[in-house]
Amino acid sequence: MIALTDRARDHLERYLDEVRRVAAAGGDVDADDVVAGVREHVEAELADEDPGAPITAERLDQVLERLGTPGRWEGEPRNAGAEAAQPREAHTALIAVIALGLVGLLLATFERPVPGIALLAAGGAVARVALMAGDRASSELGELVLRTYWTLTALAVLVLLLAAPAVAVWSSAQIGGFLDGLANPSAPPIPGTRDPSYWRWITGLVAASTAAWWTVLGLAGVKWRPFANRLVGPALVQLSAASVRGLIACGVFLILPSLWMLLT
Amino acid sequence: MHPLAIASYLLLLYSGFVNEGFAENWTTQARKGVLELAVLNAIRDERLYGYEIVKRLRRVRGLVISEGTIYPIMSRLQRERLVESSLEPSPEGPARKYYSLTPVGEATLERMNAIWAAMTGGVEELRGDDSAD
Repeated sequence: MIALTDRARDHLERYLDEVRRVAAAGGDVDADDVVAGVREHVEAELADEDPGAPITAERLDQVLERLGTPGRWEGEPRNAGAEAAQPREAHTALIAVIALGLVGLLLATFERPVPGIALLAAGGAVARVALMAGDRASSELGELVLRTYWTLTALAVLVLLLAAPAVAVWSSAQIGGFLDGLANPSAPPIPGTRDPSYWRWITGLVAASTAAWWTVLGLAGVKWRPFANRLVGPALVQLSAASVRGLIACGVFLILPSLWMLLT
Repeated sequence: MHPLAIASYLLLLYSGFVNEGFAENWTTQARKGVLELAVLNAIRDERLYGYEIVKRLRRVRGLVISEGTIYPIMSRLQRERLVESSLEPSPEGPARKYYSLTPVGEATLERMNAIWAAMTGGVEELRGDDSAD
């Protein structure tokens, strides 16, 4: 077994995760077999190095560069057969994700946050199913579906986070006016969405959900990184040891203020 | 590279003398088939492990662009029962997987080599005819 620096080992494991993903997507090769072959290749090529010094990430990257990007391996059956099987269900899923996402976005931003968030979550589930279908035939399409989902969800979170303070400030003025007019029993009631506590609750809910997701994903990544990569969508990003630690840290950091917003 | 050479190349490219996209696609398709033939020939007479196969193929200029390409091919050839493998201990580290042809692989390779010889011979003849014109 060759000795690698922590960074080099991280590079290698990320590369092998990608090899496994691409090989599994091909369907007609044994992914474990391909990963074992690539690992053996790397170890054989680096076996002549000075045994006293661990292999650096830069040296390892030279070997990985010669091995090439797994998704572009010309002998890869996935590339050869991708055009042959375009999954209709993935096309349908793309439309479903956009529809669910847009409706969810509108609902979550305005009057009906809970069904809106539920619709966004449903969009995520559809995206995952579509990506699994895409893994078998066209990962590009699966990637598009998942990318759409992430974009819509990020938009929803952004709109909520930006809208909440703005509406809160605006509605505070309304409340001020309302308080001033308390003496007047005919003053109109404040609609729900103009109430700062409503927006505080919504923002807290979105932030808490995001924090919980990051934390769960990070913790899953510590022990089962390939599984975590599949959860996040390997077509988009490969989790490294550093990003797993970052996810946990961000999750824990975000969950405290979000709980404070929800509970106080 | 000299700027004039780059300019000449770009001029050729965009003036239609070189259809770069077609040529690249053709090269990729040709390489795919030839690579399997080359791998089978590399292990025809002796058992080799993956990295040794790659080193053999490095000698054929332009054949292997991404060396990792070999490993899905080896897996598929095993699945097709043209190749078999066995793990053997290595003095330099973990056990290595040695590949060799099965009897079916030997027979298939013989046929592939015959087709290859006929095709390349035919194409060479055509090229000869073209150059004679």
